[in-house]
Amino acid sequence: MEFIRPGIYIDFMRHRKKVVGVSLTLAVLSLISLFYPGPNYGIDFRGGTEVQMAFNGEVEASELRGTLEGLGYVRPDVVRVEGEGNEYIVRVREVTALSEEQMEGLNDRVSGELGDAISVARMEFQPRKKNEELGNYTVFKIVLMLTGEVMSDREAQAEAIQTALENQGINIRDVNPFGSPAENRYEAHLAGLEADLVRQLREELGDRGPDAPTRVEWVGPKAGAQLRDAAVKSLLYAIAFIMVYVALRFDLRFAPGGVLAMIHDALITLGIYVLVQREVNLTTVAALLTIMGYSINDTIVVFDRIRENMGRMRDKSLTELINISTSQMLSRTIVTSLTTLLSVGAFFVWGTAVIKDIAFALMIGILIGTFSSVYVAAPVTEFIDRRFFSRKKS
Amino acid sequence: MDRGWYFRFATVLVLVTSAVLALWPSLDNWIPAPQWVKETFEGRISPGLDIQGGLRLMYEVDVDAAIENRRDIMADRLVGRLGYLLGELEEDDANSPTREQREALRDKIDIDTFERSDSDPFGHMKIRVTFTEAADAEALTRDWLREQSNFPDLVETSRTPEDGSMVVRLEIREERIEEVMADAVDRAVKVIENRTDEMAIREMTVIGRETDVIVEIPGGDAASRLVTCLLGAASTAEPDADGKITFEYPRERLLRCSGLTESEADDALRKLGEATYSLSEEEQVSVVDIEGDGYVINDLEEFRQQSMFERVRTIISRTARLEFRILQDESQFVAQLSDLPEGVEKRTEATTIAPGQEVISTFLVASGDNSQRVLRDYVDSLTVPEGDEILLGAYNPAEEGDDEAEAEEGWRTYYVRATTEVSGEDVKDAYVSQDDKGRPVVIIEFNGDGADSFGEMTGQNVKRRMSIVLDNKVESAPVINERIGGGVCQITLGGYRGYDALNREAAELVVVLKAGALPAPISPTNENLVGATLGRDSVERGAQGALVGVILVLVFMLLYYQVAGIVADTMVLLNILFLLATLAFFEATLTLPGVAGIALTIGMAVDANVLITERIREELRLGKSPRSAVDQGFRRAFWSIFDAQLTTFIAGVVLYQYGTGPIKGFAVTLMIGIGTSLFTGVFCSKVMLDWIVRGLRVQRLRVG
Repeated sequence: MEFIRPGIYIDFMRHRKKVVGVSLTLAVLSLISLFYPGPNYGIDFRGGTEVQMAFNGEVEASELRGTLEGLGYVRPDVVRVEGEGNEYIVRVREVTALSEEQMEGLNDRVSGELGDAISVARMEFQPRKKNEELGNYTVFKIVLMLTGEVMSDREAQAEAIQTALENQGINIRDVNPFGSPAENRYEAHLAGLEADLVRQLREELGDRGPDAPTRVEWVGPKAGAQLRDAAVKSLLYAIAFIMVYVALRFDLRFAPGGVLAMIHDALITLGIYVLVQREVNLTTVAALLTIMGYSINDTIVVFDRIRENMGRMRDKSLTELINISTSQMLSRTIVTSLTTLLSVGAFFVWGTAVIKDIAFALMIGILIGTFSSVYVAAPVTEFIDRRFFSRKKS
Repeated sequence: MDRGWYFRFATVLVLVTSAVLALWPSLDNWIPAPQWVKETFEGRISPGLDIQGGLRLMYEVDVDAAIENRRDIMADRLVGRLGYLLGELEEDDANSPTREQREALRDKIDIDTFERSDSDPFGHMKIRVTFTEAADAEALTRDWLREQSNFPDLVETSRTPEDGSMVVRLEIREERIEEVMADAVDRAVKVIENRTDEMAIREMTVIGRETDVIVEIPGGDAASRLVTCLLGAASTAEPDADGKITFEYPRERLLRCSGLTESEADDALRKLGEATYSLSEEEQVSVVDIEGDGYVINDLEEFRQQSMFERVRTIISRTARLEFRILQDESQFVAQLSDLPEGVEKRTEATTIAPGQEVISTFLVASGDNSQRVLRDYVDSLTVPEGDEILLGAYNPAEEGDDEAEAEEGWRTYYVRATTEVSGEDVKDAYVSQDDKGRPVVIIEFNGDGADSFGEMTGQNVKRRMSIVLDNKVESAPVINERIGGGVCQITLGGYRGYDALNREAAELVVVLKAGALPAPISPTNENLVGATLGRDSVERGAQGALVGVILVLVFMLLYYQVAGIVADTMVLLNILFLLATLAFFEATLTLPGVAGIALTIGMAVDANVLITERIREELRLGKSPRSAVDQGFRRAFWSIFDAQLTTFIAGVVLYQYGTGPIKGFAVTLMIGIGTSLFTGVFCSKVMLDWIVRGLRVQRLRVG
């Protein structure tokens, strides 16, 4: 069987201006999309709310995940607590939040509500993380420290605080005295999210639904600044080393093309990801790394054939050499892409949740990677050759 | 066929056999592996948190301790800076006044710090400065504090005259406190990551949140899971006089708790028994199965050690603060004590405090099960003179020299200076070695700064004793014979413990010293064994997808390349075999990103074969014989394959070197995959094709 007639010659480079234009536009659009609308970051990157709850009947992890997704929670983490009960830890991206206006001066307003004799000496919002897109702050609990004539009955005082906060339009789950009596410290937990969650789950699951949560907490991102820095640093080093290797092994002219193709592929894949608003999480990072590996691999094979032909056909221009080599490799390029697509495609069809995501990214990456070996790596190499090395050649 | 071919064929055969054997234990659940295979190849692929779940631990960081720590550092610096402000010190000495200069300054400035307590919940943020002459206090202004070289983090809260002197109260700024808290949690996360890296546990996740740190340890062998569940069940039972714990735990609850199948649990229980039956009767630690549901744990500590989770947990929660302090052997404080509580005794020892000057110093000892607490409580109740401190250390009540016997627990006191001369922050490297008696010791090497201050400390205190303090416990107190330059120091682990316990302790110490100390103590708040984050169903469907994908690739290659397709298919299968076997051998943790890495290498393995086959096609079209087409095809395709794979390998190495967590895991699979696909693509497939064109002597090679 043959897809491509042997000895075929396709003038790939004739259309390079148009295709490079398309490719450049896509890359620029992808770059813009990273800022507007911006990637849809998952819990891995931005944290969320963690709720631990026990269910009254047998519930499978997949069923629970499906139910939550049906309720509109995006990619919830569902972790079964191995043990004797039907206990689960559910992590969702949604968080309780307060707007800047609600927080501004809340201290004084609550002091006013509590009466003349008591005032709030200090008020802390935890964790007070800014949500850029919504313009509000993630607040999980409010810590208050009182001074003045504080009630000796701490429970009653806690209730008074709850009323005061609720009068300010803030939903409170509970207020608890904290630490020693002398400290006059109270912690108010914001309500909303987990109450909704439990109610919705009870509606969906009926008798098997969960009891009140045993634990509700805000969780920070798994992949914080540290991971991002490490990833960026390692990518820069990887790019540098690959360029050095390609420059030494092939020719200086080839190095930028290969690396640009690699970045191009990752960028556009991410762009498409943003476009369809798929969630970006740690798995996506792995997928992007995989795509870059695939891309450089694919490009080097084409380069290798160009180099080989350079030695044999000294009278041909680089443009012709690229055309000849790419044509010769076309059969291989198609077969390899097709087989890889077959295996990744199966993942996409059969996989669920995160597996589907990773397969989706890889499919895009493979398609773009195949295209970029021909239309990014080669034209860039030709351009660099023409622009910087043409005199040497003549 | 020539001899070279037979040799190559034998190589492939040997490698395939070893790979199958190495992979077998990982497939034990589906195809039971014989015992000898499991013993020879101990490594298994362990599924990651997303695929199998694991242990989830929550710790609370004692942020108040971190704040107090920061406050103490500022209080310490305050002495010198104020001394310079009042013109008592030169600028050079302002940041590190000597002990003598500090003593001299005490007449003019007195600095007190407080602890957090019920009556003063913010005590740990406060500093009180007493100026003996009220006029001196004038110099301490708000602007002076705010200068960058002074104390921008402190704010003055009050100033009260007290019979001729002036008391100025300072407190850490509110916004600064939040930073210190966040910083303590961030650093705790980082240190825990470093420690688990040192222990080579891959794919752990460490997440910080408010004042908590969540650690998720992937997988866990059956034994680890069982131990965790049994420990939970045992915690409700009372140990008897020998510390033996007998309890019942119904099998079905054990299975639910551990998430294991009946046969997995049986196997692991048997192993737990075997691991411990090899010891003599009374040392036997473990689980004795009485009629199915009964268990006996002889030695809780040893039993814990059977679980990987427990070992990780011990290492995670160690603060690992290493300090060197000078002993005050000339002090008579302890000798004058009277009314010792029951169980606490005085002992004396002869020590030198300067060349040729010997004194008799007194210390307190206690022995028995509760001795540490008894001694600790008593010492805490004492009012020790300012600048000094009493620390505890393990003590062997039996006579020195009897190293073999694991003696009774014992504790003693050390009377030391309160100031830390050198700390563990400057440790560059640490490793386990042995002293002349063959006991394990830990050697530490300091970096430049550490070596300098260590040299200085030892130089100034020749013939005195130096205590090596780890997490507030004195490990040993050797005499400084001469100035120790070069920054290498040996830590002898103190106490009554046996050889195995010391060895384990030494290995742990190395991990924590290299990874750095926690910025504040942490305490466990919650722990759960958790299931796969992906869910069993997703994992199963993912596995199905992988299987279908591989079959599709195999069928396509067979149709497209025919005979050469059979070769390519064989190579794809061999590549998967080698890759998984290598992962098992290195005990790699397989997570979803890792699976992505495998998908990529399968693609690359296919690519290598496609490249070769396409070349052979080209050669055949030129009219060459199958033999020379195969030879030429390989020769020409080799460098393309090599270059392409090597470039990707470079990326893998860099990602491994600089990446963390999931990136590292991906890099490992990628690099191993490149190695195996290069081997199968270039070496194994040549062996097979050679056999086809030479052994079978085909006249026409069907390559589609």
